Amino acid sequence: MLNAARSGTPPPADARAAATGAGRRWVAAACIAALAALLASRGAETAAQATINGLVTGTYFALGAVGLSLVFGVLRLVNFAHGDMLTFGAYVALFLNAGSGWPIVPATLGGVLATAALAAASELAIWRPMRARRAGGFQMLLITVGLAFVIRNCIQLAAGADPLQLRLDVTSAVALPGGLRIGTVELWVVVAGLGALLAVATLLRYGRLGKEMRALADNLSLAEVAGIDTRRVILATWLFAGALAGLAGVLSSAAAGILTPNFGFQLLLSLFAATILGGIGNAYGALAGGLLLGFAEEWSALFVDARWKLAVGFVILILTLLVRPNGLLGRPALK
Amino acid sequence: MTRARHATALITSIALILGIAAGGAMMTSGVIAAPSFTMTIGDLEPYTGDLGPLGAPADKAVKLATAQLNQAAKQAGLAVTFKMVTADTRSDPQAALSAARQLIDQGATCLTGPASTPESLAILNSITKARRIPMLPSASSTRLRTVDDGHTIFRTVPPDNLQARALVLAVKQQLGGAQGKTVAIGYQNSPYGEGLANTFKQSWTAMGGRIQGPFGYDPNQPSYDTEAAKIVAGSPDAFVFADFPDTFGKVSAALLRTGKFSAAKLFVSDALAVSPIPATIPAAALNGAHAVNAGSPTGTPQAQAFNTLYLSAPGPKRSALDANNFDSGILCGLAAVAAGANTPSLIATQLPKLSGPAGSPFTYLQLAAAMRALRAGTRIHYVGVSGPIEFNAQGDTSAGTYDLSTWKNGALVLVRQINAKE
Repeated sequence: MLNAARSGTPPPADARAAATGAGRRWVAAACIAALAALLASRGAETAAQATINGLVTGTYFALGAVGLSLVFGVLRLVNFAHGDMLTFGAYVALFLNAGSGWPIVPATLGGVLATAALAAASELAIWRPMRARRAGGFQMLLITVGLAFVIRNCIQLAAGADPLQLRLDVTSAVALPGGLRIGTVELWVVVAGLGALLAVATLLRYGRLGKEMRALADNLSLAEVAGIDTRRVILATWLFAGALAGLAGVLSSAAAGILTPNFGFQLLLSLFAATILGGIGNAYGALAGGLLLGFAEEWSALFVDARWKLAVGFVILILTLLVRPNGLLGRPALK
Repeated sequence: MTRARHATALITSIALILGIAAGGAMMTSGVIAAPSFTMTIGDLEPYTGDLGPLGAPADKAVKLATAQLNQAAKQAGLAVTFKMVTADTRSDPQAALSAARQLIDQGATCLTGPASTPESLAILNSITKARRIPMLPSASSTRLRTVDDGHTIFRTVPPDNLQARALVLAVKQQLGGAQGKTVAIGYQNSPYGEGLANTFKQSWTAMGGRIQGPFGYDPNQPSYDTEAAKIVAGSPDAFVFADFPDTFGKVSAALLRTGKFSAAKLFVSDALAVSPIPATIPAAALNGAHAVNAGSPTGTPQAQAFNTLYLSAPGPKRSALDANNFDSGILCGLAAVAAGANTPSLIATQLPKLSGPAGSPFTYLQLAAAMRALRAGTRIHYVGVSGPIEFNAQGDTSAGTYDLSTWKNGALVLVRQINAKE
């Protein structure tokens, strides 16, 4: 986990583990209760179809939210430019796929790599110098807002404001047992997204880089004293966050079928919601938060007017924070 | 000093005598003093954004109107010239407001456009109502009927209660009646979409029909699959959508993915009546579907002449609301001639006086004669390319001609015309 304390005496490990375990049980219980209510009131097929739809949405929410959470966990930086990094990745893939005729897989890889490079460049050109000048959190936050506008306007200048689309057939669907359906592109979005999330989770849990990131998240100064090359780890964090943002951008634009320069910014609020819902700074929490938000929005559309489904996501966020102020998998704040 | 005073008194007396004589001459001939001014028509169009496909055709129509006005003023011997300035509203209220400010700063005294209700409201509330600048939007939402506009909004585009009526008539004829027939309604959550959906629902249920929905959705949602599943559930007899191309592109892909959607059952409102089908909307979602949009009576001389004029000019092909935008431009110019000045408040005052049924009828083919009549103080009634212009107390037309078209191989083809009245 990335959100452990930076300073102070850590609480007993078993107490923190117990808190996290309670969070997981709380999530599971809430999901089971919601599913039971769905099944009872709307029938198995409708409930299952809404769950599949929620899985699609939740996958790219989770991908976007994990990147956002990684940056916050390691750097304590709320990155408002993250949504526009999604847009950047999607537009690079679009340029390669629809503009230059590349197949979708290499075009997606191109988008991912380009966004990782953009994120790394922002670290080298903006964030590292700003940290060296001991810029405060508020200044850094304002810079992220400014960077968001710069990225969006550059995209608009280069590609125009009109909606564009990848060369994909977004109308075909795969029939599943029980009369259920999932769009062919959406199926690939889920497979690719969940695969990437699994790889990231494994790396964070068992990889050396993941351990170093956790060490930085716990206490940057201590990690430095312990001999960790913090500059390298921070750069790697940006590379990872950028790559995940790029992948989330390509996958979400592929699933939606249409891409505009504002699309990442429109997703940003949901990504923040997923990050906070899971426990800010906690990459696994962001993953859970993203998926849960996707399910909640689609399930809610069966009960309330679909116009309010974005608002429903935020109501769930508020309710969750009332019960668990640190988010679903967040640990209690240290005193 | 005394000599100077005498000189001043002499000059003043001569000027007064000349003035009285000139006034007398004008009174005897019945012609009001010929004004001399350049009028600027401000054209607010969505060249980009959701309504992007409507921008260029509307712009071309207002340009043609400006050229007709200049030609007629010359023929009528008036020292009045017309120019047009244009700006992109980007289908966005904030951008529309900025575009309107830009045009007004360039001297625009009468605005044609914008194309949507949120844009119109932003401009009305921030600028035009306070400064009494007339605006002739091509937005059709009923929301603009209820807003306090200080008598500055006039529409040549029939309001959506008439469009909903035309949609009802189109669906009813297709289904062979409304009694017991179920129509699923989907709409974008906007004043335009909600207004149309609710008005359609009222009219359809009043005829004994059943409604599934209406299902509203936000244009910024990441996914529309659950909404699509709800819309197609139970296989309704027809689908009616009030939406804009960008959002409908995403919604229609979700509808097709359900495997239960048929374009042959689909009827859409004017904002989606775009031809050819944009690349962002799956062709399978619209080929075979029907669209209703404000049209113009095809049989009248002015409609035929406008068709020739429009098609012979370079630029885009005919599109929804081009005739209405042309009429808006002509009305702006005629109102300025009637006012005898390039003053927004005077133009706004004159606009309702150009509508029927009172006054002698003139079409754009008799613009020079209409201008001469106006300068002679005669009340005229402008008969538009889009049909008779008869403004009610809200500045709306009370009847409308609608084209019912269908998409064949990606292009809209006229099926028939529907006349809708309040």
